[in-house]
Amino acid sequence: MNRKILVIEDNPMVVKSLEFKLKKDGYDVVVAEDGRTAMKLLSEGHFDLILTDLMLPFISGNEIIEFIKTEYPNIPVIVLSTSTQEDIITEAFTLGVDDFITKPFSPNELSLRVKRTLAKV
Amino acid sequence: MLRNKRLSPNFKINELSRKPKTNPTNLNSTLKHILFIDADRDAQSLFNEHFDRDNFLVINFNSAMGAIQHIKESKPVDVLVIDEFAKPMGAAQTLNYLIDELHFKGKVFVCSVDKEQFETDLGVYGVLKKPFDRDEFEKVEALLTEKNTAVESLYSLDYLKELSDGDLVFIEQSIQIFMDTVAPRIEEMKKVLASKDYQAVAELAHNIKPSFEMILNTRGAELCNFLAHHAKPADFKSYVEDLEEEYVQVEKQLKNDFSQEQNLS
Repeated sequence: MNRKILVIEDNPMVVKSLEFKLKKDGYDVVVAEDGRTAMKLLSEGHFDLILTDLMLPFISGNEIIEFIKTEYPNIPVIVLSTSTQEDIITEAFTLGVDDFITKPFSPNELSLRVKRTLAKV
Repeated sequence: MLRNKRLSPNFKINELSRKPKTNPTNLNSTLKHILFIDADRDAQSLFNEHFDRDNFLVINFNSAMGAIQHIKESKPVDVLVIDEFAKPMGAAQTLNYLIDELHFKGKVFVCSVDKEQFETDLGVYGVLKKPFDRDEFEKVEALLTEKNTAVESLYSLDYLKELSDGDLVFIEQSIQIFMDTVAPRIEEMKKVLASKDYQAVAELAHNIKPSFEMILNTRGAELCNFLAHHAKPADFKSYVEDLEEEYVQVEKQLKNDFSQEQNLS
């Protein structure tokens, strides 16, 4: 059975790319375009990994991360963000994220980091 | 008008965006579509490797049927390169069909091990001698770059090609998504700017920044980055105008390059 990844991202081009690459790598992909949808999806099914943006509609990425780390502490989280600001990255790591990838992602880097993070679970 | 505006030195465009925006051999239409029909994987690999650059998009076919379908659908072709013994009909018969039935008028190269020439009434421009060496590919490149003046290329498909291993459907869909989603967000930016909601402008800029980055449009990405993280209230109006101006130019070029694609409006 394929590992299932929840992608929380609101840029349609990035979503398309992530879906394409991750599906090609053999994962099942579910997309939430905002934090509320992500929370609903998390309550409805099991995910092996979460990839999330930090700036999202309705609920911020950091709030989502806090929620995930409280409610689903065993699901690893990789942050995807355009931000290269050190304070934002630091805050995300303080909240317990497992890795950080800058958009637009390098396809090989994404594959490797997802694989590596899932291997730790 | 505002193209030379100085941007903050703090900008760090992703390494993937660090591509030259201008190619001196650019054509009037920036993206050149090459249909390559050859079942030989080594030949495909060599050919693709040579044209794996800005402004060239190689569409590979193992048989002529896929290329015929491509041409039937009026998709863009700048040059067709076909192996002499391409399946199922061979080059001569395929070209006859294309010319007689589909009224194909494009330039053609035939790849051959032993022939120096091909019948000119088939519309063949030249012969590429097999096994290939790079000089042969220069003939195709020379044809594609002749009689043209340099035009600034505002985007590149390199990132999308790398991501998808050159999957044409994915590339076309991504370009369509770019055009469908960026314009409405810029319109939204103008609306929220009118009500001086600078935070909303910044969030919209943050949202569309990766879209510009993925087509390697550095200027659009820089403007988005500035609006998202560095702009002061007095800056917003002119930078949003610049962003819209950049988008309009990119869209124009994309529509021009993909104008014959059925699924791009």
